[in-house]
Amino acid sequence: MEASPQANAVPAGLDPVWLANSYLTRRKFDECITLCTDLLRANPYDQAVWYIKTRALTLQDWIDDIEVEEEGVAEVLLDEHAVAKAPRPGTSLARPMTGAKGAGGGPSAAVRPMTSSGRPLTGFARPGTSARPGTSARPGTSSVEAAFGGGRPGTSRPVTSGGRFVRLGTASLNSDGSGVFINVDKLDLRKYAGRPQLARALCNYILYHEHNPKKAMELCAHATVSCNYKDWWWKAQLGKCYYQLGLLRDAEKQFLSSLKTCDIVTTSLELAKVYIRLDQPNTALEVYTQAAARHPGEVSLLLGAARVYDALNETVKGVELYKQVLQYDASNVEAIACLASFHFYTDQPEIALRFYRRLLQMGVKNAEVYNNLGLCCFYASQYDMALDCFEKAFQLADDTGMADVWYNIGQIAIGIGDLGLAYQAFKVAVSMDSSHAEALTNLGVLESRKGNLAAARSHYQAAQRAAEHAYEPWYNAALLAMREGNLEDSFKLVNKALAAFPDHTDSQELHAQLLKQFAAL
Amino acid sequence: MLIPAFQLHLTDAIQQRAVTVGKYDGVHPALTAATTGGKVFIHSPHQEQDQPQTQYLNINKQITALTAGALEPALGRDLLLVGTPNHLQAYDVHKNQDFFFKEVAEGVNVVILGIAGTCEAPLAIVGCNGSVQGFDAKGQERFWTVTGSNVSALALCDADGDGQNELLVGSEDFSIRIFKGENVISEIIETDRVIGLTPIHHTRFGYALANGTIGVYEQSVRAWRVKSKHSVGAISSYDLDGDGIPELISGWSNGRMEVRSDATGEVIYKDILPCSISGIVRGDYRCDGTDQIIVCSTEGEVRGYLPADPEVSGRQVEETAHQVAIAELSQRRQELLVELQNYDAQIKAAAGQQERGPGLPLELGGQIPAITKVAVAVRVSEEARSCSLHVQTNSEECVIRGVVIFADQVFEGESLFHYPNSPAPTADIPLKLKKDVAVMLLVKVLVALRTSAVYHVFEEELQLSRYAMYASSVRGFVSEPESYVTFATSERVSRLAMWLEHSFPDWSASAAGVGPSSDSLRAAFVSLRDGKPLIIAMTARAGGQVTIRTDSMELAADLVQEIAAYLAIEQLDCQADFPPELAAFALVLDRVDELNAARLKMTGAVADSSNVIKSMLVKAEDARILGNMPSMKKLYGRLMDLNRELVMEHEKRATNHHDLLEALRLVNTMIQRAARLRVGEPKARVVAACRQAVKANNVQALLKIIREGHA
Repeated sequence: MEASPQANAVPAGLDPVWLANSYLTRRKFDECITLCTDLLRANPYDQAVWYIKTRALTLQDWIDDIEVEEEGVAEVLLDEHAVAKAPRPGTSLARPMTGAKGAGGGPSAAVRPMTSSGRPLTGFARPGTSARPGTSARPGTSSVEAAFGGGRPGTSRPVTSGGRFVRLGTASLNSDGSGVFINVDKLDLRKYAGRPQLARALCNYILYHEHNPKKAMELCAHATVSCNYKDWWWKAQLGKCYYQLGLLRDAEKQFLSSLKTCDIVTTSLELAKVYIRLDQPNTALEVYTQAAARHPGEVSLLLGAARVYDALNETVKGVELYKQVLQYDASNVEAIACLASFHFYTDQPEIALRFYRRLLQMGVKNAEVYNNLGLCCFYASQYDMALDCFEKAFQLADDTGMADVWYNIGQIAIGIGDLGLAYQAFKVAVSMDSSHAEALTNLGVLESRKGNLAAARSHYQAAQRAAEHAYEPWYNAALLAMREGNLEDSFKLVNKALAAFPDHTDSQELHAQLLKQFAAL
Repeated sequence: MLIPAFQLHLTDAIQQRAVTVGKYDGVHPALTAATTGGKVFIHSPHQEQDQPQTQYLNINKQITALTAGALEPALGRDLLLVGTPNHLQAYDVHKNQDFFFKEVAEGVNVVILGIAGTCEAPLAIVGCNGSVQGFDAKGQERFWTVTGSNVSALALCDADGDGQNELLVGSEDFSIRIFKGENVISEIIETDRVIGLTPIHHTRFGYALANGTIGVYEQSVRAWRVKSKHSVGAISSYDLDGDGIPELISGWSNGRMEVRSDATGEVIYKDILPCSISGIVRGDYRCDGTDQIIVCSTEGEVRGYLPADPEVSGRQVEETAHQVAIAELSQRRQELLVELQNYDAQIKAAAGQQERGPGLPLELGGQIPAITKVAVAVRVSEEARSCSLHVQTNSEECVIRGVVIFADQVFEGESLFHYPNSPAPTADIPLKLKKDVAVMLLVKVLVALRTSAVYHVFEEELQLSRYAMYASSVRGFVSEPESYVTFATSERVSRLAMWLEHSFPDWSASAAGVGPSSDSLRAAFVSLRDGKPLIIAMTARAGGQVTIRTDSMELAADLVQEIAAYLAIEQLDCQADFPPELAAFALVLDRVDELNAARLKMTGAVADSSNVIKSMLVKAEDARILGNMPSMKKLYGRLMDLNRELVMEHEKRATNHHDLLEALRLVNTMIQRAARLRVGEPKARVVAACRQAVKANNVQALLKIIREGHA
């Protein structure tokens, strides 16, 4: 949005305050801010202009913080909020249901790839949901190095969650020359708390523009007192401040009290977020379900519950909810994508194909969708369409997505038996993304078929480093070591594979076989 | 010696009195205890194969109380209740889910779970600083009352034998109060802080004090007690000898575990653990259908004991009965022998004297004349500002060598030994009573002839009136305090006069000129502690209006309760005004507000800086991983500075919290006093109304309730 120099020139006969307000409602924030700055220079005590400028600045930096759920390294490493350290599987986000016993009913890890936290990939990349690493459930992940890594290999996470409350690309560029608009530290918050309208604008400004939850908390505290603890909005804001400060229990209390005063969907969502941070997914689910019963047709609540089910690895329950979401809102991208991936991994590529086509209709047009479409077409035996899709994916892919496309080409090449093409495709994928664990593993398998055992081993090792959570590189390496007669190494490796995926039949067989060998020795 | 049925060595330390057994999955019991660092560990030996036996819960706060039980019976499994200095958390271990998380500003000192009185659903009953609160499964407050002091022990027991459980509240002001609903039906004063209470059998309950005393009460009459130089770790009750009646089981700081008969206090079994005992619980820990008693030590050693086989124990009981009889008889024989020896010696000495010279007066080896008597009386004197015990012998030759006074509660260590510098036939022992209590003084006077080395002991019992520390001001011109409480009775003046005579040793109706037909009465007293006046007046107007004027609200409350009890008044409402105390109270309320605001601000600041610390720690670790040592050193340096700041901030918070607790305790004490100015239904009404006013933060209403009894 370019700030036109004419914006400052107010047409004759036009009230500049009205114009500023008009800019604000038309979301022309830059013009609005410049105009307001001029007006305030002339009369610093004009409350209307002050209000408009505050709103404009806030809206400029506004983020939907309900959807932001990525935890920073600090939160992951130094998390002390969860009550239980080793709760039963399925009752905690740190220990999702695993394996066949993991009931959920979804496809096992043999079919559906896992993220580093031991959950299947969902069909939708969203901040946070796939990111929480197991605290100590998985070997090695509790180390600092592992905490720096994101949910997918090769990604990283922010230092603190505060870092994600900033809209990427805007806040840093936003330094206007005129200095600080409101010096929060010098404000007499008690005075503002008495004026509800100004105080609300100010509160949002402090939270979204200044990112100073501590100060906002003081303002909210004064404001709730001045309205006799009757205003749900202030209580919810107070809860938000506490949440950002990491005082989850206080946040919980405020949200509950706010909900009691006035039942608002966003408050329920934020409350559920608190419980997720407290690692009490069951309570969060209760909040979602109860709120959903009170607000039928509210998609965000259903989605929230579905995400928690996903995170608990109870895919089937999540899928139920995604289907409900689609009944209310047929164009919900997240639900469509998740259903599509579910159907794909449950061996129904034709149905998945329909969901992905729906996504295309919705205007989601990127490499990933074409990638998935291509795979669906291939497994649904529509080979001509598959290649077209991958071509499209190549056109749209950027550097990060390209490796995945090549990897999938390699998969198809294996499917049609063209191992040469597959080898080359995987090589290209690895050259694009040196930590592409899947491609590395497949390369390793191809190398070992060719008899280049040393190369295969080094590929496996690279894959193991890149993705400790995947069982394939461990198992394949164990198999290799076994063939070479290196039983001890093989035993170690197969144990690692079993730690990553306890119900992997081949690994179990290998393990049993090794034990037999040892007994014989 | 009792042989443990099982023995475990857990690796975690166990905090004192924070042990419980819960069936978190509804079937298998799990031992749960608070350990160091604000953590709770759950040891469940009956887990599925792939689950660890011990799991830990992070509470991250000091754990002050812990219990488990079926708070929500519909759930079919137990919940864990954890108390911290300002929260109560009900946690469902099985589903890793909070049931509720409730702020309790007064701090949780002790928590129990059970059905009290006529309530149909179990409540989590929390003992706080100055109040007792009950929460239901939803975390709603169902019960609230004031206790006047910090609650240190709670138990549910049918103390009055009506088939319903009463709530026993032991507090730091040395008293055990028995609550029926929100009313105190009985109050027992003990000699030290009450640290443990346990129901035993029907109306019997056991108690433990901080000074190492344990004992048993039957209704509100003490059955027995014993004192040890060690401190009590925990008490519980269980039928270990198989006779159908539970015994009192106590664990001590020296690791001793004793099982004492509930009726006599005699030790039946004992065992010694290597370190001090932190908790005794019962549960079916072996899953075989019978409960065991589980004794835990602070180092994490756990021993379980099974009840004895009834057949074997029956014989044992018989044997012990024989042994007891024999022991008693031999004891008696010993005593008699000693007495006989004494007499022999005396006769010998007397015979020797007679040989020397028959002219000397017959003095039986320093024996005092048989007619010697000792008179003991309490003397209260307004002039001397003292209350004293006056002891006199009836002969000049017999002097008092020493006086030993035994009385509960009055003296530190329950007794006083008075040793006169120059023995005389009379002795005045000043009594400095800290509390107004009616006690039985057991006085032992050591009397001897002036030259003799043999003492004779006279035992006297003396009932000390409750208000011995108030001297009647005969002249009656004490200045009238502006504070007063006044209430109507339908009694004659003479009844009050009788009560006054009964309660104030220094007042008599005849001296004050009050006859059976008088229609007004005015008794003026001066406190011997601080010289403050107390005036009790009654007029026959409006069927008998009683007015008590004193600046001390506590004293007024005590008097109102006494008078009501004496006159058998069941419902009593009053008008009261205590301007100095209420003004001080208003200041306390202001202070609570102030402290709360400061706490909010400080909490925010601490959370903020702890976030900074977290990110800095991560950056420092990042620098370490990257091998950038100078930057790492710099970051860790700053981290240390921040940490120091945080520690200072924490001290401030701790002071703030302490002040807040103290202020809240004062608020509760005030509410309790206001309630105690009334009797019966008005009393309960005042407590409820005060609670509402405190919740709504309505100071004016609160003061009005205290004065007038309703908002």
